[in-house]
Amino acid sequence: MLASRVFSLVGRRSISTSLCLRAHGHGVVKAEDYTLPVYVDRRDVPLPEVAFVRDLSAQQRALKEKEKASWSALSAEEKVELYRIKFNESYAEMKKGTNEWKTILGGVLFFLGLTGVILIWQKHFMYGAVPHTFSDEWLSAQTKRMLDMRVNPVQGITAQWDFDKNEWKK
Amino acid sequence: MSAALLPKPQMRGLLARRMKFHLIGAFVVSMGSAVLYKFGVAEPRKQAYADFYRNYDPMKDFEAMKAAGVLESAPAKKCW
Repeated sequence: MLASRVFSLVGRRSISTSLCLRAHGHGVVKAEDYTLPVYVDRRDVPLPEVAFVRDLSAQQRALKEKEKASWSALSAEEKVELYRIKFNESYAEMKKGTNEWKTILGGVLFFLGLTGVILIWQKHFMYGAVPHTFSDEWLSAQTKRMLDMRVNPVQGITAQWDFDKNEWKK
Repeated sequence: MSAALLPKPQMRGLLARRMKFHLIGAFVVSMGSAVLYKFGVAEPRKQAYADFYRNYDPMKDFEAMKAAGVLESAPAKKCW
């Protein structure tokens, strides 16, 4: 400020714009809210950087003054009020579960059902016939050929067939 | 605090307790699943293979397959 006054004695043209702004208190950028420390309710941050309540009412300010004296003079409600000024949720409230899982489960099942409806519609109205190799005659001939070839004889399909009785093993 | 005081919560050893719980749990779950697999899947499979090959006669199987007509290079009927 002194510098700008001196400069005005010397000559008006030598005053820079930023110096003029600073003289009127515009030079410093106002700190945006998102750049300041914030309050968080987190289990792993027991003491956040700032108190929860930023702007205290007159009542709260009076309480804060009372806090500077002996704490045994404070009643239980006043202590709780001081706690609530400093913190938003207690740990118990923070850790409390919600019923969100019901919504999620309901949504998931609903969309599964919707997908099922779409698939049924598609099978009924859109898709053509399956290939002839899915007919019963073809499948039984196919299975017979697999057994003749002794496919998977140890633990697989041939192991389930009784060759003497010509039927599936019980 | 004129009302009855809450019991003092556990202040120390929280990570140690959690680690012990999870270490034991991880050990039990991994060893348990390995043991279950060995005796539920691996051993029966080895037994099944041993039983199958104990009295296995490949020539008999070959004749059966040939008779069924699935072998292109060994037809059931003699063509020549």
